[in-house]
Amino acid sequence: MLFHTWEFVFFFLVTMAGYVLLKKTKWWTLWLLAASYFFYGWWNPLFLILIVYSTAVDYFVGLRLGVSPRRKMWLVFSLINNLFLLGFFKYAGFFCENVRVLFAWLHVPLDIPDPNIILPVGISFFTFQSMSYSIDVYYGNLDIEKSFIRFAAFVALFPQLVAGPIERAKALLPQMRTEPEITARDVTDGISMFLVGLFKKVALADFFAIYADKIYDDPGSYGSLALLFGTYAFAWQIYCDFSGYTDMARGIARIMGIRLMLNFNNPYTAVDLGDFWRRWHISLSSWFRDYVYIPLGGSRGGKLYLIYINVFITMVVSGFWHGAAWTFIIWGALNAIGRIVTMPIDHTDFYRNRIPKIVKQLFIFHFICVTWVFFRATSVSDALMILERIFKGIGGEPEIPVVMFVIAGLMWVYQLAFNSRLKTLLESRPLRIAALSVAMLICLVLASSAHKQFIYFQF
Amino acid sequence: MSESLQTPENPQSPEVQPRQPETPETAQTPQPAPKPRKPEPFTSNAIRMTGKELIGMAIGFVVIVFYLLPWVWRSAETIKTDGEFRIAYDYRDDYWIWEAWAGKAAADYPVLFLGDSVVWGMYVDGQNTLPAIINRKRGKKIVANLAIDGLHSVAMKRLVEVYGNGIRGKKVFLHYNPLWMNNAKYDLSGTEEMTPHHPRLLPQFYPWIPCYRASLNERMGVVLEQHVPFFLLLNHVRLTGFENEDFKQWIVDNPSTNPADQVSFVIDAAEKEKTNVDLTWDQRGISEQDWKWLTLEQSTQWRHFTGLVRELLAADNKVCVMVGPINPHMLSVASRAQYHQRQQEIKAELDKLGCECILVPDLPSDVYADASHPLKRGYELIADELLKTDLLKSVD
Repeated sequence: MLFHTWEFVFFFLVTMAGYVLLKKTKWWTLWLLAASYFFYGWWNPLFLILIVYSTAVDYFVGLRLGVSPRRKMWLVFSLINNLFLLGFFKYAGFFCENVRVLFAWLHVPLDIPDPNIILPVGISFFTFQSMSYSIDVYYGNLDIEKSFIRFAAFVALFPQLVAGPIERAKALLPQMRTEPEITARDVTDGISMFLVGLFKKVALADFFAIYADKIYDDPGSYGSLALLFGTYAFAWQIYCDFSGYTDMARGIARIMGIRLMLNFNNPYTAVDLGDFWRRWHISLSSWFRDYVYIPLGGSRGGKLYLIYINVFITMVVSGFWHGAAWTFIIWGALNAIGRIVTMPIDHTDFYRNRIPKIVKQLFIFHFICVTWVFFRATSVSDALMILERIFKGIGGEPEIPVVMFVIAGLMWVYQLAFNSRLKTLLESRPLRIAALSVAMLICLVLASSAHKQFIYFQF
Repeated sequence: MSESLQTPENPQSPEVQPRQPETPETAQTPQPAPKPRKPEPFTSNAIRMTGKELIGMAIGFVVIVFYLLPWVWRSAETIKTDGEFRIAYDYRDDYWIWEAWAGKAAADYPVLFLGDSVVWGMYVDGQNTLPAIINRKRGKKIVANLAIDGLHSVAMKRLVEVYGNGIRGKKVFLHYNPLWMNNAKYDLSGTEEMTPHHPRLLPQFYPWIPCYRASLNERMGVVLEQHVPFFLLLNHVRLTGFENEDFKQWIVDNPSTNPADQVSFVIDAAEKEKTNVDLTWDQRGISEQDWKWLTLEQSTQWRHFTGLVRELLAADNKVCVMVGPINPHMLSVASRAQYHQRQQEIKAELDKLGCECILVPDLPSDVYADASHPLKRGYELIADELLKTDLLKSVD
């Protein structure tokens, strides 16, 4: 059930009606949980077994962490359980494939069959959310949640269940403990967020996807310019797709009086890679920071090489989280290398004060585009071939849809303006109304009868 | 994820959330004091509307875009309907054009002829369709060809209900094609999934058509198109200027063409490709058929057709129904007898409704192109029969 479908509209109207009626009673969390499970079960009712199991384990671990003397053991149990679920459903196929390749290379005559496991939608998101609860309770950063219903509603909250933001228990559980307060401002803010997200997804992401898919489905047939612009198209596609989803998710939650964190903050206006990761998929970046990077030692201790190692490990793990393929691992590694190489330069007076901001922004955008090649390509060899063809300057008809890139350019200019002194102008009533009206009109015109899935559902 | 890499070294770090894990290591390590946290921005753009703005915008948008724009467009657009006009085969799904043509025809012609490809003229040119031959035989243009290829009765009913508002107080010829009743599948009374012709003219929710399995989104899209002129206009623009492709896909397929250049306010919607074909059904190799015709009670098509007749009669129209033609020469003896029986039952039912009816007689074998489409000479013979009807006799 995608947010921009009629199924969801009817689902939300019914859910909201019950939610408003029950919000002053103790039943509202149960209603929210039932709605969330219905939403999740719409994809495949069997997935519900998984989420209920994962939730039940972490709920039980949370209770044990409050009373058991063997707290570390319970935490490890929770981590292993969640990582096992992820590993089994997401990485089993990758593991088998690589073992098969290894055996073939070693001439071991053993055939490992493909497990053919269906990846449950959103498993990477809800396991991470659930896992963070156990970790936070273990470290005493969070009160134990005694109510299973409330905890389950936190894990399964439907607006952010399948593609984030990966909300922390510290931020979300307290909202589940008090009667939801829905102000008129919440509703209008929610609608505003939702409409912007809708525009990003339906009008932009699905549009960019057509060109990006065309180029990336047969990269060997295209020259440098087409591959370059195909990569630009993918860069905007993945941004509009994912940030559009989270805008809608935040909007829906806001209408229900629930606040979810900002997940994207105009990442393509970043001036350095650190800045980029503070703007891109913020909920995941901060999750990895708090639960991987800092536990590894973070930037404490002052030894530069240790910091670099921690950065590298964190980024590669993040890449692996995105998908069970070497392309994602290389994507993570490239980001790590980029960060490690640019970290000392970012802090220099020359980079910070002498280089024009726009040059830095263009540089970062293009570096990110290079990494997106690995993210989008179907194989490492394809990615390398694409990069080779881009840099070799191979000719050929680029077939660049001018309209598409004019729209991308306008969006980038809007984001730059929003991050500048022009922000006040953009916030003026006539411009806001004009911008939203034009966005909705484009949305209606460009809306296809076919609804594409959101990219991040596959993670 | 390298956010923490900015701390404590990077003074640019805006929103650092130092974690306070009380691990043995960190407990002994002095942590930098937490910096005051900036409030999280509402979102990453300036679109934050108030209630009044949203309501005002919604009302303005609905009025201007959904209704005013199509009205202005309709006024500015010229759809050429010269000569013996019939809507081009390529525009058979463009109900915007049909709506405009039906309105014009209702104003300019005394008789409107509704039907499927038999009336439209599948194997003849524009001068030899059934309405064109009637006009020629009468020496003036009295019949307008409002037929569309593939327009079965269920779709025809919805077409007239939604887009045929101008059909009031007119003389209307309705074609009932029994061909749709030759099995449950084409009759739309079966349960096996199929993609019928003109799905955008099917009832989407009530009455329920079991074999039509569109998603809720498709059904809602159709309902919107039928009630909000803007969506009908969008479909029209896509059909006439963008090769019936999705706009986004078209832009990618035609990268250097300005989409605005594709929009035209002069539409030549007449069929120009079709020419007269002389190939008969047996020359095409069509074998004998033993169709088990559905009864009228079983038939979804018939049920909807009688509904349409009632609606047209209620709108002060004089209605005459043409039943057939069906090629009897390609039917088995039993099937042919059953067909003739159905014709009589249909006539009896229409008589009860107070509606004139003409049963197209069995024509010579060599005037049929297939199961139901006549060739040019077949149309001539049918036209002669139609000219004997009260409906046409009453036209000056």
